Amino acid sequence: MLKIIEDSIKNAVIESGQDESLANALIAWFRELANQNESIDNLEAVERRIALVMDKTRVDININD
Amino acid sequence: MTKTTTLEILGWSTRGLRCPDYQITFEKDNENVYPVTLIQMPNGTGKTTTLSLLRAALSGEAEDWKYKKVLSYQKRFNPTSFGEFNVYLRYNGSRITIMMYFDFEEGKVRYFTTTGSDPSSFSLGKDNGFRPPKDCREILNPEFINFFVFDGELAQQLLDPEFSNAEKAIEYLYQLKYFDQIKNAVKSYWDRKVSSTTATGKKGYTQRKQKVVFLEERLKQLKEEKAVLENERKIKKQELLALKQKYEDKLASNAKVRQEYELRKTALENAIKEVNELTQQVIKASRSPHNLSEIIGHSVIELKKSMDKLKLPESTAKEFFMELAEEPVCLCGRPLEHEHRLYIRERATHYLGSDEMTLLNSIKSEITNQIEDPSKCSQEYQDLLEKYNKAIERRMSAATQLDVLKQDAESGDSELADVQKRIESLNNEIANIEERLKIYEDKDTELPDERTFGISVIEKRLEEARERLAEITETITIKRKTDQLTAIIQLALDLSKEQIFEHIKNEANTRISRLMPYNHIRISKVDRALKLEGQEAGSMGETLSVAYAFMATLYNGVERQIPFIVDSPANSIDNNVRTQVAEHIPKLSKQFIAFTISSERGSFVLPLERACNGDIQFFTVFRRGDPSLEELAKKFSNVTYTEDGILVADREFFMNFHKESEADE
Repeated sequence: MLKIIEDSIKNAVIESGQDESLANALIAWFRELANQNESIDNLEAVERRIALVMDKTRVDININD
Repeated sequence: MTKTTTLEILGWSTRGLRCPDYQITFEKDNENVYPVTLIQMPNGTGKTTTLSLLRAALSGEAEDWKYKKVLSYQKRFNPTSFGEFNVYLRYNGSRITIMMYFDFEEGKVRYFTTTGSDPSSFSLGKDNGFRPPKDCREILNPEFINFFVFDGELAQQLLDPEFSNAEKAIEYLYQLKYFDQIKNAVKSYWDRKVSSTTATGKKGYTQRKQKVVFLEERLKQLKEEKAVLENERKIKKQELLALKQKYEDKLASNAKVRQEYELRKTALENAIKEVNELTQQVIKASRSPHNLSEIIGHSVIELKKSMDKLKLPESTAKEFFMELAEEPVCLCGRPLEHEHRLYIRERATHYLGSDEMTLLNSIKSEITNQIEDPSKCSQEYQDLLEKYNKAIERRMSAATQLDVLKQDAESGDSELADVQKRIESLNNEIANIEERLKIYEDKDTELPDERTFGISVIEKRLEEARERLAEITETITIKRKTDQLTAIIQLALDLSKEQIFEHIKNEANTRISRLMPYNHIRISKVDRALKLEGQEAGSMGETLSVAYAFMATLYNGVERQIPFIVDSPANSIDNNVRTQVAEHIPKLSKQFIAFTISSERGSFVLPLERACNGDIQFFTVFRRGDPSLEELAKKFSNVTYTEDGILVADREFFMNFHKESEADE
């Protein structure tokens, strides 16, 4: 059943036009939280995770008025 | 995906509270609990109280209870000042004991928590609070506890669109909350970034971008203008050089003037060299004031004499007196008292420090070395000035003589005269260009960009503007990324919910069809609440059956084993459905504990007993005072008597127990 969550993350990432590596990074983070190997209160770990998912997220930075 | 989390209730005990005193255990052996336990308590015995106590013990919520609420748990007859309720748990194999200590005089409840097997390690004098292990708190929180300490009210709420209990239960069990946690972490990251930057919006970006573009254009324009001038100067200098050579060659071709021209030219070069050397000497000598005037020299000598006369600086420094103030006895032999020390320290400030003494000695020494005789110094300086003036005169004379020679030569040679004119013109033009070039070296930082010509100033401004643009560009990139991530996480959550809700609906409907094969009630949608097909609500029995089916689907669907504690599991269900529910109960969870009354036994207990293969515990708890029940209890061996209650752990007693006058609690 929990495969649903992983598939949903993958589908959401693909639907948003992002690379699958972002889905993998988000799934890994979700897993570690759900397994309680990591806590959202651990700022250092959270910073690391965010740096990773930010790096994997692609955006258009062509800013025009 | 997740580890299996197991929570078991090993038992509980109550003393001095509104329900009868009793202790109950569900442990079959050291490692296992009974999968099904029925606790028969007539109305008025404290079923609701026990359920409330269980919820409070498992959630820690009683720490916030008000005085009146605490007092409502005090015994009505023979009340005592204190009471306690203990619940014994096993979480992932480790024992946890949570004790609630009721102080009815203060109207407060204190918690004590122990982990491990020795509950005697409680220290009543020390309020250690509600402190179950951190990872266990996810289950032991007030909202989630309602899903496994279950009553008819929650069953109704699962179907009530005013409540979002169905959604909450799914979110808890499927750990969907981690989506929100990740989303909030991303938002916090953005908040932290935005707090350390000066502009974040599109407008700010545009302004900074325009500034960079303008400065880039301005710098380009200024550099181009400067380059044009420099190139012009270069061409003119090349032309000048060529003309000078032509002029020289022309003169050299005239045998009559060539030798004289070389001589006069060399004389001028030597005169210029001499003037330059003397200029350096004059500048150096002018830096010593005693050279400029004899009066100054004498005054400096007088200063030194005065210093000598006044013995400045004294050989005894301020430090000497500061050290003296620390001594027990003065130089004169008198003992130093506190007030003496204060006085010495104060007076020490009137003397010079060692650094000041070094400086003054250095000044005195330099005066001696440099000014032996003030009148001699002044005279030497005057001689130097005279020499310098004469050198200038010689240079002028040499220049004039060369010019005269040139003019003579030019007067007889029109071509040579034209070359000379052109040389003079070029010199003027080059000087003019150099004057115009000076504007690009301007260091004025006060003027606005469009009126600033200093290239280095514009370059610095451009560098700063680029930094500011880079900052906002990075901020906007992060903003777009956080927005994108937030949208992805929300979409993933929505997709997960949609599929999980659909799956649970189908599974629950299959269970409902087994529970009530002749009833067409079905769940049409799982959302905030459960929605029934074609109807707003069912009967109490239908509601309870739907709730059981829903909860069974939830508990069987995840890697989590949680006890299921139910108040009156069959009370409001029709007899034919009771049997179906009873057969289904062992599948609900690994540990099922139910509070029942005698009227629920019919069509329920026997099918339940069969469904769990006889692995079931029967308890009956009732208050003391009914002689016939007490007499009946005496016939059984497994009976525990307390001050106001009787607990019988026996199937036969359970089956035959009947209390006619069951009053409301």
